Amino acid sequence: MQTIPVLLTVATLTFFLLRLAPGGPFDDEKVVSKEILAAINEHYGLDKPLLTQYFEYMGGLIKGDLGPSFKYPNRTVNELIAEAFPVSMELGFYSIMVALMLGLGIGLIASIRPNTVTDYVPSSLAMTGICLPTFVLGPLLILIFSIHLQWFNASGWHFQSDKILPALTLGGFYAAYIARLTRGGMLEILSQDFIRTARAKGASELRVVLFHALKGGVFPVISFLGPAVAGLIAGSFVIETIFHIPGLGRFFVQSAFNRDYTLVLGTVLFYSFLIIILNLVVDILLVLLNPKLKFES
Amino acid sequence: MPLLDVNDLTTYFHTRNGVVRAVDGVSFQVEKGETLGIVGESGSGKSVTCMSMLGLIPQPPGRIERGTANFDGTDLLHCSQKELQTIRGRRIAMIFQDPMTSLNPYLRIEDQLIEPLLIHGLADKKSARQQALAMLDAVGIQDAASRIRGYPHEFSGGMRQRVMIAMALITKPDVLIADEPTTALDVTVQAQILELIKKEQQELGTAVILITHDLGVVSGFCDRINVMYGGKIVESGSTSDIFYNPQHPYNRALQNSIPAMQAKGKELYTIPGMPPDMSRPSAGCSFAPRCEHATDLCTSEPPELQDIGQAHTTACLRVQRENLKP
Amino acid sequence: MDNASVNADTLPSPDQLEKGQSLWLDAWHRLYKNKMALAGAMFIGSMVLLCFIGPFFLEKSYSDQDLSQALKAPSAEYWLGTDHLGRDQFSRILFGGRISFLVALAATIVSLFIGVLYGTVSGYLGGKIDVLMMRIIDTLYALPFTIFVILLMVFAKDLGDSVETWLREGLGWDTDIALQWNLFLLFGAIGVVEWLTMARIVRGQVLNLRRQEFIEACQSLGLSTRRIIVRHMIPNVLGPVIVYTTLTIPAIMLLEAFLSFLGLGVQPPMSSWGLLIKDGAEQMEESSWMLLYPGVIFALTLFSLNFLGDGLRDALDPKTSKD
Repeated sequence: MQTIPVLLTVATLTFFLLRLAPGGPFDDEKVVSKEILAAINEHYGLDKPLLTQYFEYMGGLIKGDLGPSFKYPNRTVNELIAEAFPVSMELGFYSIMVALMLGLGIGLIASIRPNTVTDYVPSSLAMTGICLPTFVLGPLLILIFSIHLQWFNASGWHFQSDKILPALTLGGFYAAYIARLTRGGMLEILSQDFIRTARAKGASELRVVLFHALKGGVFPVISFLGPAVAGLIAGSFVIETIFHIPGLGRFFVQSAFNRDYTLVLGTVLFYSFLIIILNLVVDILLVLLNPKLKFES
Repeated sequence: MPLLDVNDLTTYFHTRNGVVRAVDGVSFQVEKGETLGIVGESGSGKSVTCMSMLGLIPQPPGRIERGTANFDGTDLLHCSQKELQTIRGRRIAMIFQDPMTSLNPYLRIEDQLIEPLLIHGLADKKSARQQALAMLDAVGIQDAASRIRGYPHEFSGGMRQRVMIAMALITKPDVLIADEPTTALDVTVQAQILELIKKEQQELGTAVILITHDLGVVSGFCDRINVMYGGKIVESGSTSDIFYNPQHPYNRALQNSIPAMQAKGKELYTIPGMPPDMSRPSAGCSFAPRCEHATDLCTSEPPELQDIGQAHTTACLRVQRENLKP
Repeated sequence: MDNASVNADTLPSPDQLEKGQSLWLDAWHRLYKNKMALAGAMFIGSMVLLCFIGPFFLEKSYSDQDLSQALKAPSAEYWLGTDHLGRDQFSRILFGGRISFLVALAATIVSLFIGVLYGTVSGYLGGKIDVLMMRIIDTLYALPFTIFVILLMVFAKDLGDSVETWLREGLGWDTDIALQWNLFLLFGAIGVVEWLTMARIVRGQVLNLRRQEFIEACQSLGLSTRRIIVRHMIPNVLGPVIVYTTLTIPAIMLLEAFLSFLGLGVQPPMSSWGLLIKDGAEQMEESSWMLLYPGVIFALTLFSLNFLGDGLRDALDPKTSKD
């Protein structure tokens, strides 16, 4: 499978991209004298030739060691990721739940009686969702619910109630996409001959939709889950920044700005790995759902 | 008292390009245990007629404009959705033309077979499974016990149609509507399927409405035949009457077109012209433009089905006025 | 099939045959009937006009600061209020729109160019070359893109800053080159990210076309491969390409706004809608208009683009017609 070469490519590309950019992680420290800067650079091995650094890093990678963080003294990248990732995972989990439940629900309702009111209202809602990106929706929700109504905190990740707005924002956007995909998939299935057969057998509309059509209709949604997760990860950067959530996304953005090379590399690799695994899971799900595919794989 | 009594059934489709009069005032009856054949070309309205009765026409753009369809005391065209659902699959079953697409590819055969029994509360799951197995065997699927857990794509076209038949008859309905059941199948399989339907019908006493464009199919199978053209019934009678005593130019032309009936070495007879555009109704008889016996009368007056003796009706004006023997 | 079974509905009526309805004419008719798509098109049209021509008529520019007027609510003088540095929001929104549209257009052109070329060559040449080219795309697809774009933009920003510093201190030039450079790289980065799906779609179309007979006819007439690709394949591939393009543009606008929001896209003092939303979010406690106006306008633009895209897709693809 392609995992290893992809990861290697990612690691190499990122490594050189970061290093080629002018400026090192410690150049901003204005208080530091030139000698101390040199000493720090030496301590972290930044004075060695680039290729040597590359091979040393790769060597460490194979052992699973992502190196020390440059900006957080005395902490390794592995530690930082282990600390921050669970937070992001929780956010991601809630967001997916929101996205799936809201999206499937709205999409299903819209597909039952196409081109009537029960279709137009949910479809328009979905369309609005797509056009309100997370960084617009987030602040808007904060404005309404935290500042005006004062129902929730505007930031932080301490209480359960803190988690509601971020999950809604991140999940809501994807809910819109899922709603549209569900509607499309269901309509496609509902126009097929075997649905007519089901009706001819005396099945109620509810049964037709849930028992006969659903399995095939959600197919595009499952296919979408792969890119959706990648999108959720990207979205987490913004959400964690807006709501001040101590997750991996925020670390990534900050470390990119700070030129904390190892942390950036570590997070990028981690994300790539995650995406690859998740895509695999989605592929497996797809095969399980469609009996015809089972045969071919 | 006929089992099914259809009166003036009219279904139009309101499309972007106009109103298509797919079924235009169709009336007929079906007796208990009888086999009725509905014969016509594509577009004659034969399928739409039966699908209208069961409410399987997409509405919009279709709409049942008028008519009644009395089945054992209930008017199918004017009853509630719930009532219709209790009749579909339970007392009137329908099988469709293309077995490749008519079965749900995502469900196992067994689940689809037991469904009619479960929906209508005729059996519990265990008993339903046993009946499904028996049914599958009865329709001639070899090795039914191991195949029943399979998926549709594992069956051939002929086998899928057998499954459809099993699925339709498992509730022992009063009427089976078979919409071109053999059209999508190989010739060798066609005969087998028809045999199967006949056998089941005799065993269960089910009435059968067989819709087809193939005269050969109805000749060995049906008691009575309705010939449809342009959304209307143009001739109706017993099978022998229709074949040996045609009383409508269209029917006569169809008989003439059967390749087996024609002299060897001569050019094959075809009906000149093309089927009518159902969105542009004509003033008179819809077959007139293609009829070699047409007169001015035929293009100006709309014909009605009329009895010409012994349960034989025709819609040809000239025949009705007795100045034509087609 | 004999005559008798041909369905009357599938044959064109005599007057239709005379007019010869081309695919494009038919598509135009269908698009015209789609009210939402039309509304979307009009909104976009007006927005574009406003953003590109409007600024010429404004007195206040997008970068003039007047700290004494900071954070003022909408008034007669400042139509949409001012931001925290006293800049006129109205001009900033218009100018920001200009930048946002420009970036979207430029990036789309980049991705279009690369994607169509790549897809056509891959699909037409087929065989091992096609397999290899598609493998490359598959590998690239697996990479986390947004992450790379972010890294690229960080890199670009640094590079731009260094170059500007060097120019200023080394050569004494006072330039905005960092800004221009940054914008340029933005188009490039986004375009380079978005071309993959375009290439796939184009390749699929080309594969379909290849099997059709008129291409064989071209080959038997001795037309060169290049000529066949350019004059025969590419025009026929246009349909799905147009549809995908209209759906890509809002996606790209979104990506640019996303990057700008994180501080990696367009840099101040230039404005883009993403930047404006970012500033608005920071100031929203006291001056909610700073968030609301850019946010709503951005959403409406995306809305219109999506409706237009949907409408075009329905119009050009006969299979998706509703009846």
